Amino acid sequence: MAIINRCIKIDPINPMIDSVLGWNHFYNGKFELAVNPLLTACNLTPESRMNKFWKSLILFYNNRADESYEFICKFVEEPARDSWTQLTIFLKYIIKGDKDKLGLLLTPDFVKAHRLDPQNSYLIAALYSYLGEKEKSLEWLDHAVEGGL
Amino acid sequence: MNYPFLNEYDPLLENIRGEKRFKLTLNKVKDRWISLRHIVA
Repeated sequence: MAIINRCIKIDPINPMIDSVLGWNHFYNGKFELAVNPLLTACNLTPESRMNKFWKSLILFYNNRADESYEFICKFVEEPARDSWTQLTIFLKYIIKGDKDKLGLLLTPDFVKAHRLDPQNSYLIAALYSYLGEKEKSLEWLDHAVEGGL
Repeated sequence: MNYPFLNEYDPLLENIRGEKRFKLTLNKVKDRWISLRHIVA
């Protein structure tokens, strides 16, 4: 936190600092505290696909799934052309429990791209767990951990 | 490597925390977590 506070003093309007602050709260389990910085980062850079994902996710983690779903429908274009948008659409289908659309989204290219990133693998594992897809969740979690999560 | 997040904080993992495979995976994470904390300290 000391490093983040120092960054804020140096460059208070840099949205990346809000993102880092939000991630810090998120990975310390302080999901309520992560809301404001992650929403601020998204508001400052509304074109950022990464920040759209994190806004959607933190709303979901704070029991605001309807708001998250509405945001994704309004501001995230389909079909996805990048991995952040893919993850965001993945979350959208998880929220609705739409396993058919999830199946269509999980192309070999999708799987290959997200397995390169342990954090993405972890997020997919967590979302599958939420959906009750235990085997898929555990398989993605193992991959995330083997990748160094 | 964030053992507390996986073991305790993330509410989405509640559905798998009771699984044997999850516990085996978390044991690996815990070992690495302890090693890293030792190095950082």
